[in-house]
Amino acid sequence: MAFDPQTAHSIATAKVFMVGAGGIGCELLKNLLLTGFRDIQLIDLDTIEVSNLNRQFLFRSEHVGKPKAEIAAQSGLELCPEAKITFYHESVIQAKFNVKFFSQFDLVLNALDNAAARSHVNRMCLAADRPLIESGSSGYLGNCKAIFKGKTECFDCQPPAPQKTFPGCTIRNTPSEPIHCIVWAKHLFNQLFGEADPDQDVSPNTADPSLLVDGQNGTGHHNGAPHQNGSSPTGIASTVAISTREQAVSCGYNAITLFEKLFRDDIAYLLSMEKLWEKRRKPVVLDVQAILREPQAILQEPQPLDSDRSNGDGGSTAGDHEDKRVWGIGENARVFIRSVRGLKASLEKLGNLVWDKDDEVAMDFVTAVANLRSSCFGIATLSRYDIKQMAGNIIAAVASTNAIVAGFIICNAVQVLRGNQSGCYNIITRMFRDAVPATAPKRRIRTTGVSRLDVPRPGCVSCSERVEIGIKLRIASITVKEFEEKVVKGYLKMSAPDVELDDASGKIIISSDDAGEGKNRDKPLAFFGIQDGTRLKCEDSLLDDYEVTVTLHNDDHLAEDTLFLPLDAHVEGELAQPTVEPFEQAKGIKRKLEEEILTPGMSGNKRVALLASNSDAASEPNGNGNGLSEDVIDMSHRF
Amino acid sequence: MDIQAEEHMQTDATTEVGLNGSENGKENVELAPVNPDRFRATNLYDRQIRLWGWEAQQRLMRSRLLMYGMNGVGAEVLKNLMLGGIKEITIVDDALVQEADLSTNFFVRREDFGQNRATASKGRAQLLSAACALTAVQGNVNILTEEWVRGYDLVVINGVSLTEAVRIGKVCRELRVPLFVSQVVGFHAFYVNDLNGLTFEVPPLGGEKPAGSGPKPKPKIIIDDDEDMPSTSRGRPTEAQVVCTDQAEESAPQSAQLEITVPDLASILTEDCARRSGLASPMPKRGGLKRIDPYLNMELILTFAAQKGRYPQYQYMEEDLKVLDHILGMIRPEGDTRVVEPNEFLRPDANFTCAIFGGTMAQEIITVLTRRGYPIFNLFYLAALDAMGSREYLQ
Repeated sequence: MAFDPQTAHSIATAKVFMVGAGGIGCELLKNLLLTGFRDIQLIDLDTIEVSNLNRQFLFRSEHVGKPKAEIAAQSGLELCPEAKITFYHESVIQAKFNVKFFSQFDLVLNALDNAAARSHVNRMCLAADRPLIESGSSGYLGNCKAIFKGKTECFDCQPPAPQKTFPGCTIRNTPSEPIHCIVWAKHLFNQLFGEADPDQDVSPNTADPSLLVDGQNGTGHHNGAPHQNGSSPTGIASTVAISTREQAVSCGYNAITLFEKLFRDDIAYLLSMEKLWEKRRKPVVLDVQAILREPQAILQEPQPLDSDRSNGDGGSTAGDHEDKRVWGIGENARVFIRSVRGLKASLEKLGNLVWDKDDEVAMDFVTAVANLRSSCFGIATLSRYDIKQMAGNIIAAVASTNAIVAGFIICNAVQVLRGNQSGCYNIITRMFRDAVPATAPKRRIRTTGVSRLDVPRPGCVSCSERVEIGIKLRIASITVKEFEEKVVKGYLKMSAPDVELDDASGKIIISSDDAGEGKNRDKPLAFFGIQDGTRLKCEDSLLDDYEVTVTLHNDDHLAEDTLFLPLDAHVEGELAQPTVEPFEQAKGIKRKLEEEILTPGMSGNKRVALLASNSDAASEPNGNGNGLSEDVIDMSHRF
Repeated sequence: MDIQAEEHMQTDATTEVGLNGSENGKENVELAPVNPDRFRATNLYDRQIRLWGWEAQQRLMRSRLLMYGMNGVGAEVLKNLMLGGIKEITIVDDALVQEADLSTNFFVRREDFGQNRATASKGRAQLLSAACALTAVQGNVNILTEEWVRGYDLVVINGVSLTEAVRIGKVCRELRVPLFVSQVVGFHAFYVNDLNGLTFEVPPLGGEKPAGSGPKPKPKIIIDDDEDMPSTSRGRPTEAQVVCTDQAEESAPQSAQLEITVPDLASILTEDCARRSGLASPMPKRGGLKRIDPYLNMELILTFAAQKGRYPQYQYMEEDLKVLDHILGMIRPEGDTRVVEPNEFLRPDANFTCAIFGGTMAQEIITVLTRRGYPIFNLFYLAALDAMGSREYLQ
């Protein structure tokens, strides 16, 4: 035992809750047990994937497909039979894990991979007044810090890195980069094989503002106005969404017919919207029959690989990376046909599918579709490897970084149990493998950046005492759904909100019982008699007494792509300008990172912002399905 | 086109896919998911291939490692390298499993008490990767002679005496096999390595951003020591050189070569070397936190080790603390404010020290095996509880 008897005793009797049993979680569970922790509860809703096995060492190949929480607990008990380990294979964002549940622990340890769950656990710990240690890793970077309610900065005090967003029109009408086609391909997957989301329409959009904006000569922006085939920016698009699916059903998912609809007819339709192509390169239609008639190019074109040391001890170690080859158009078409058939079969067998980057057929489909669409628009096609990176928002991950982070978590945890708050640090670690110092190798280079914990940010929506906020928005047009998703859940970070008028009527606007199914969700706020100056009471039903009063200020002059603006100088910039470099914002925040260990041009707090929202630890997809989470691509700022 | 014609088309397409597709035709007929081998290397190691590239991954999968000492650091290094996909590891140890190992080496259990630490670790370690040829050998560090070391791509030595470290340093240098020597000292740990003569592919000077408008990279850039360095080191010839390999005149180079020239272990594992290098280094800045200086700590530890023939140990807490305080009084310059806490040395090995230190060392071993990236040479020092990890260049 490395500590004095008193510390050792607090460690042995401490009750800890570990949220996430993935990359950091596996290392952390081992460290907790070896350090002497004996009462551990852990939660993770994920199952084990092949690609986890390079670092999540509590899992082995025979465990693939099994729950991480269960196998981690099992391996933990094998390592230390005298420990008490309880596991939950489910989401932590649930009413059963309430404030009372959190209150039973001496310490909560986050080993998560997504901002939504991090933020939720942060809230629960604040409500239960329990210390939380937050951590994350991404490639060679890792960080770890402790959070004490009211004394130190909480998770939400740092503005989140803005999500990458693409206007709906770019996706549907005028893609110009591979990512636009990849987003479109994922939307198409959902339209054809998954839960159709009206926000993810894939058909040409006749309400494209660029049809209107430059229309000074006033020629018809509805040129060729095609009946129902369009959706308004307010999201009333269900007819179209159904119609894409319906068309697929009506042709029995015939891959050739679908190909012709998607890459010939729809493109031809877009071409008919001439206004779009006045300043853009015109797309071309694809002729599937011509493509399939073309003789196949040689499929396995060898990649140039390292020629050194080919000393023939190969086996599985030698050879190409098969996914790094860029397919020709013929191969894309064939993979499209093959994957449509495969997915059709799965759909018939299993019902609606959820897109998953680790599902080979689903990944083939997105690769082929994205490349075919890119071919239409003259955009470079990419390899399956690269498309997987973007579509799955894959974060590089390696065992060593997680081991280091999990070690530092223990350092902080021990100080928490000793009651030594000043011994807790905000730690950033990195390897400088890919970062030669800007000038030349120096005599001394820190591999660890460490600073004292910051004080809470005044006005933080999570940890400040203030419960009154003001928000500017367009009351006449913002829908209840948008208000709930973007303001109450997104900005106020409530998991299961109840919202009512703060007046004698107490009229309910949003109810957590409805779970997003309320019938008036597509109505604008004005429909409920809400006007400039109306106050709304927002409560999170998962938290005992977390209530925020929001005063609504009507502002019809908000920028077109801005849904709302908080009347809070600290946060304004971040929400008003979602496209701002995340690092630029983080710069403005005071932080005492005392050692510049990092590559010049990328300081410590930038990296914190980078890590905070998304990193390798454990999955908590929050109901969005693997890879399709809102972390990846948020479509909120349509138009 | 009528439906029949379309179906016909589809049949044609099927045939073609079946005949020419990269996957076998049978799966197409059955419409089963195409799934060649879920556990193939490109899948299994995908997340790290996206970090260091496929070429580096292949090099790692061809590498052979020899490691002495299955203490906590040995266990962490073994785990991280096996997970990474290394081809072969031989572990050697003569220690027997005891109580203290249970809190650092997670490959051993209570029922292994009294058994050899290497052979007891092998079974559970092997479960991490069936692809890795793992051999456990019962033996003292002194069996690691030239015949033993020959053929390995890298040697790791954990927790041996100064004398043994120097001996193995000599063997490895002659064979030009890179070497890491690690020592855990309570909550602190350090490694020294000998990468002499190795060449690394590194990003060009100027960092990650291509310096389009910046000054052209010079063909040879001598390492620029810290500006605020005391004058004693000015004019000293620096030994590592960075040479840009890209021949293009105007465009920024894609990568550069770093060739390492360092003194041997015998000269850097002396207290003199630590003192010299410490005097030549800027005082540590820690923004109000403890100003822990690796060099002064190293000098203290190495002086102790040279005098006593062993490193400080918690079992001899009182005795060692006296000696350490005495040495510190002798070596510390007048008015020096650097923080040294000898009682931090006198702790049993802690798991978190091993995790942080072993994680760092494993990563560096991978850097060296793959020759890609900028390695941490030739001293890495960690004060775990203070979260102070630092690379120092000993000359």
